[in-house]
Amino acid sequence: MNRSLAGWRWWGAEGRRLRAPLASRPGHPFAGAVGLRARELARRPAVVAAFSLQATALAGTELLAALGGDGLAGAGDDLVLGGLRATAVPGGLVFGVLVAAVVGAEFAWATERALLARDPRRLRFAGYQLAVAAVLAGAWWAVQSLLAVVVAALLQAGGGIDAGAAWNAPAHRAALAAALAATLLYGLLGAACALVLRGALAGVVALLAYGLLGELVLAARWAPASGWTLYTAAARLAGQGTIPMARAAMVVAVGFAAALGGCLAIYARRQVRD
Amino acid sequence: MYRRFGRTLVLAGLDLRVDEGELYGLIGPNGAGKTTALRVALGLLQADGGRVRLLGRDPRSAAGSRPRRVGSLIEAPALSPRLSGREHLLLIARWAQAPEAEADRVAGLLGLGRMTERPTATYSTGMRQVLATAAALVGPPDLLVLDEPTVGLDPGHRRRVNDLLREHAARGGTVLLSSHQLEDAERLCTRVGLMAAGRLVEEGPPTELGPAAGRYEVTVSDPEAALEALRAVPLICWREDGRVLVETGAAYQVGRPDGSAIARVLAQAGVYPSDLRRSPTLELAYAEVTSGLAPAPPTPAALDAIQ
Repeated sequence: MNRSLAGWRWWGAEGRRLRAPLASRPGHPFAGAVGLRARELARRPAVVAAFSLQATALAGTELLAALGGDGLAGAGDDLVLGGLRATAVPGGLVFGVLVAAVVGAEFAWATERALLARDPRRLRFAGYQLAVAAVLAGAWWAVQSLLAVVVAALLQAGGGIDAGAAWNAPAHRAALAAALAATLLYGLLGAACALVLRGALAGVVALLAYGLLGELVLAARWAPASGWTLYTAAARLAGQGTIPMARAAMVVAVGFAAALGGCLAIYARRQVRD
Repeated sequence: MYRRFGRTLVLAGLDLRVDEGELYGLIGPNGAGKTTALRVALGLLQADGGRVRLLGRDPRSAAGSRPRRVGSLIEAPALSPRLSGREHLLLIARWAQAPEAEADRVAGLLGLGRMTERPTATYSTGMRQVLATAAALVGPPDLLVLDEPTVGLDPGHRRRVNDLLREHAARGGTVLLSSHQLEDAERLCTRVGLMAAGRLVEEGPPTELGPAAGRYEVTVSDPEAALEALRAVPLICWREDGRVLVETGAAYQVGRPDGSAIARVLAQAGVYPSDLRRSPTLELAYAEVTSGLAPAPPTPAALDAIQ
């Protein structure tokens, strides 16, 4: 029996309430929806462009450091560590912009409306968007980490880099963890901006206004605030800067919790007018 | 229910009930509040006042931990341009926790065929509408809420969608649809509500609405002979644009004769109509609503009810 015939037969099942046969569900439907959306993201030029930008920036940074010979981000000759430290936080900010763009696109296409009409739970929809952003963050971090090692290994081949030792070193693990934290933090901020402001452009502008103007320009000029920004804290976790590590961890954790809580609290009352 | 946008009261005391198994049509001029009413019913918007229930529940809460069995199409089709048609249907099926075979079933129902393998960005306006309608049928849902589902469709798809809605209602499903296609609404709906200025102005079976309810149009070669025969019964009739109009639905009409009674009277008089049909009722009812007979704007008392 072909699929459409099976469908007809099911549609014609007796009874006023037709119920879905549970046995025909492969995997968790929520995870399946996230997977489909992640597959769709991989086809978007904006996503491909952002990943390419990140790869180019990382490779270029390591190449310049190798050519200059004066080390990178306080990591001496270790290009893996230098590359990760130098790109973790700026890369996170770029990733946040990307997430704001892709999450915000749901509002332009009105796909939010179609999904909320089926299931009105706002938090389920927000969770779906955040899960998609988390999948993208995982890919971003993996590509970033792999490239940092591969490019550095290629550049340091003449110097005899010990990739295994480098990967296991505590400093490298800390840099990788910091890169993941920065990616997740800025990704969450981007998603939160897009969800709360209901659009890609508004989300990107808000994130850039906060990340670039607020943290890198205004806070940097005011000493009391400069040691408390997300950028400074994430950079400290990556091994750069001088603020206490405990404060850096606290700022990142509080920023994450505030973005998540604020975004969910605001979106829970969402009225779909568009 | 009441709902306002800024200072504009869009729903001004709408009182609407759709029963299980009904195919209910909501019609009215642009700005009457039809789409807002559907959005409130689906829980996309919250009512400012009044009580709203969807399948017996608050529309903004899901049934337990499962999505409700409601399919909808509100305004323009909502599609991700880089998903293929089939992927879009799969996404809806997964989101609604329906079997994945549903994607193929609804694609088959609407004859989408191999087109579903293409990204939705390549679809024409009509095909986007067909795909969005197919997505509404995924489940299958107990209730369908559709906002102008046949806009932009070719005659074949329009007929198919109408047939599917009829079949859905025949199987015990419920349909609430808003439409400007009066002909479709008259043929399809078991009950129609006429909306204007955020309220229901008139409601009932489509053949019993408006000034033309129960009216028949008879085309004959000799109208005078037909009038004479019908008046002898007696039936209320008159001549208009070469046709004979017979009133059967008026309150003062005795016996409420139908088309077959009219044909029998004419045949007995030796007059054979070339055409005998029920007058389109919704068109006149709609015209009545849109020609200044619509209700006045909401009173201060109605506005107070929102508070």
